[in-house]
Amino acid sequence: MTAYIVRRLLLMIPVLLLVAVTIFFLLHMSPGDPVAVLLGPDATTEQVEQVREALGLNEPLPLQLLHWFQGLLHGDLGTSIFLNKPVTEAILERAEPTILLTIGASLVAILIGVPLGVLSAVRRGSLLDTGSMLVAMLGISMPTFWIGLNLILIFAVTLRWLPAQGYQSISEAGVATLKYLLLPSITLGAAQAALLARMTRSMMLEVLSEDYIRTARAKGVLERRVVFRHALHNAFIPLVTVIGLTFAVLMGGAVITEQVFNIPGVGRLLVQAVLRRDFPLVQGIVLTIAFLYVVINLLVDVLYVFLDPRIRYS
Amino acid sequence: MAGDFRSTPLAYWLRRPVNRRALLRGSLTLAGGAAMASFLAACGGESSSGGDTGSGGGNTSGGGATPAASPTAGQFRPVQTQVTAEGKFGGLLRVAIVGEPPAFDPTFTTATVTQNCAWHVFETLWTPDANFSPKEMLLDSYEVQDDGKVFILKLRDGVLFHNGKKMGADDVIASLERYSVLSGRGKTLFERVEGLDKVDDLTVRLAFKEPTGIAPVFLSETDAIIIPKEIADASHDGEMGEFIGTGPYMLKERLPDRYISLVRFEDYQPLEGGPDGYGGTKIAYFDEIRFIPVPEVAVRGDGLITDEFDFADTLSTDNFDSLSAEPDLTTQVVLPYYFYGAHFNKSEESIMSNRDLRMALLTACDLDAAAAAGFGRPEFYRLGPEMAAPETAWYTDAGKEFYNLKDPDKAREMLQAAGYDGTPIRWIATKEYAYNYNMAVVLKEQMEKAGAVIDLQVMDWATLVATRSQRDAWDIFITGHESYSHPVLQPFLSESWPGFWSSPKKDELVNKIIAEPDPDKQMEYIEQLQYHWWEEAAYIKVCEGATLRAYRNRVKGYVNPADWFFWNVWFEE
Repeated sequence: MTAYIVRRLLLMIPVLLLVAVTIFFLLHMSPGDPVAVLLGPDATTEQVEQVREALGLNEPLPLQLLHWFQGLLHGDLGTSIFLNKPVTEAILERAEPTILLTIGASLVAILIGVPLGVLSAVRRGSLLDTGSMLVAMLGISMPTFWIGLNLILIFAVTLRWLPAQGYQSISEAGVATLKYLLLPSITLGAAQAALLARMTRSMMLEVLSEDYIRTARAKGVLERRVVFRHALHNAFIPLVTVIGLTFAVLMGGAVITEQVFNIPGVGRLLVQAVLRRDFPLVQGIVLTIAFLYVVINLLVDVLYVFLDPRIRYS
Repeated sequence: MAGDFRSTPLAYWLRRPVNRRALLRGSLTLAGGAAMASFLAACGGESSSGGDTGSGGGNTSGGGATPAASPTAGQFRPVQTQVTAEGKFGGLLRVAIVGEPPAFDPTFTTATVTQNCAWHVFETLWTPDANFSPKEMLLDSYEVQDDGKVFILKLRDGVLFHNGKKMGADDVIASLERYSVLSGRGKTLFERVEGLDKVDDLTVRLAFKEPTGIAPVFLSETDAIIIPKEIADASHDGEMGEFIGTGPYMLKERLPDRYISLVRFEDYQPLEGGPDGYGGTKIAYFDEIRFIPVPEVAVRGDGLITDEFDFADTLSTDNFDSLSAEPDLTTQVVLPYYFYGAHFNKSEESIMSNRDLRMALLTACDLDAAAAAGFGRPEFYRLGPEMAAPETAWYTDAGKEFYNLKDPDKAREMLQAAGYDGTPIRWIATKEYAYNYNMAVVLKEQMEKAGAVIDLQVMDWATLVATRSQRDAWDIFITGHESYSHPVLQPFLSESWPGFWSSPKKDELVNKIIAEPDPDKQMEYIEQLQYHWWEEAAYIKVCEGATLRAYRNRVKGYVNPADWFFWNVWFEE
């Protein structure tokens, strides 16, 4: 097991290297100039050239890549062109809202998605099943920003129950931070809840048709026990994969939600960085997200061992 | 005082009130706009696609505190002088701005959002008054000697920087030297400078190689800020790291994407004599101002309604009716603001270097349709050939014979005569600013009716600004420029600004304007410059477009300026 984890950790290196090189070249080869944005619309081409030179953006790409890699080896993701501070510091400053939002959205997805999927599977073909799956389909189909804007319209502008935008950190607002996170979490979690509901339903249906379920029922085991102990437990292994990936997807999905709700998290930082072509910042954030993806994948694989004793890594 | 610029004809001319024609025009538009607003309100008329004028925007607004029931649509007035005697101290003002400023250094970046936030913190030697003409701010007085070649600048005594240091000649010299390196306008002005010397601690001698009567206009712009010598020297060729100015507010905290917090500078010594435009008496009533970047236009409006902001910049004109109907809000339509139109790539590398071809395309255009596409309702735009708004002293309608000709048939003939062979004309546009794309689509169709082939390439703003710098990569793009600036400050007059307009006659006229001490003669040159701009078909000016702003009714004293500011503004419940 330990050997497996070590091997997987070592395998992370080429993966991240590939991501780093790809994002570097994709960004630098796409059109757009950070300095032209930085200096504003009235800047002359001379001024732009002057600052590009000073920032080292006129150096050949391989040389810029080399400089970036040298920094990476020392744990330095570079310096943001616009924020004028280390990328690592910029990401850490914005991490709190994004992590809380991801946890909130995951809770929404799991607490709504899993029970809905189980219910639909158990009551297969009923009105409840059709209704839930219709709602799930709607949830998957609706764009995140549209859900967000409508929630703002209903709960913030019309009912005035919750703030329309913004964020206050836990250190500033304490529990009141939650009120800033509720609507964004629902917005972000809705589509994943729908996906989880559909996945749970199919997994449960598959398991419920197994022989051992029929045997359990024949033995007279209570239906509740059959569903939760025998069926759900076994359906859970593929679900853990989905939930794990959901968490990773949500980290990336926070981009749009943070923009709509004006939350100063990593997602919004990424959007701004892309729009302004803040190369070091985009590279740093993408690399961090890629790293989290790989780590979460590894954690999911490790979790299998505990959920299913038949799985062994050697 | 002998040689005092204030007593010169140029000073008089720069400050002269709006002329009769402009006044009449403004009044008519006011009446027309108000009538249109009433009509639309009565009919329950809906706004059409409005432009989010976020682009390189500045800001302006018409009248003072206007009740929501009667929004200020159609009021085209210069900045007014507000009464400050009744102001109340205290409170936190929350301002929703269009996005995070790319930097907080107005000499380093030309982004308007930076300039608007930063001029609460920094001040300049002169500042635009109610008629957009320069008026002393950090100067006590000045003398113009040697036929406008030498300016003796006498600084106000006792002006303190936010770090407690007294402002003096050394700071002014270091700041202006930095301005001459970093700012495009600074470079233009300082090409003429022969010497910048300290006479004593509070006196600076600014000498030009030739008469430069226009220096105060340049030095009243926000890029010519005065900062402590130590900071200016440390950031001589780049963005400054410390933000210490002399303004009524000082920077407390800048948390990118969260807010920029300014607090009152308790040792600020306001000028006497009352407020005057962007200058005069400045009183910091609020304890704190927070500029909150809110890129989503809908969220800026929603946050204002839900009382999460007190003021919101650049709102969707589509929401004009709904925002105006909110009992707790005051909406303001801001004009003069920016004028918008299509720049041709006039460099040798582009097909549009052919003046006759440019003129053919200009002749084809129906600018009413293009303006409506960009800005929606008539109260959000006004047509005209002018480079400077009617509210300024530099207004002229020179070149009107080239404006809005709407003649595709003649344009077709002109295209043929110009030798146009059907080569696709590359038009770079962005959907990030609605007006940009919407106007491009309409103008493209009009030009195609005349036989031109337009290749509309849509891209994001960062790509567009990078592309437009390459002389061989494009032929046309749209952007906006301040309509309340002195014409010689327009960036497109520089040959190195995208558009690449090279014209000996233009250069000669710009030099004459900069040098000319006689205001009437200077106005003649401005008229000639504007005419030349049109006869060369350097730019298809479509219209001047307004922006929409709104604030909670408890905000008092706000005068709806082109570029917003919040000194002399206070809360009253």
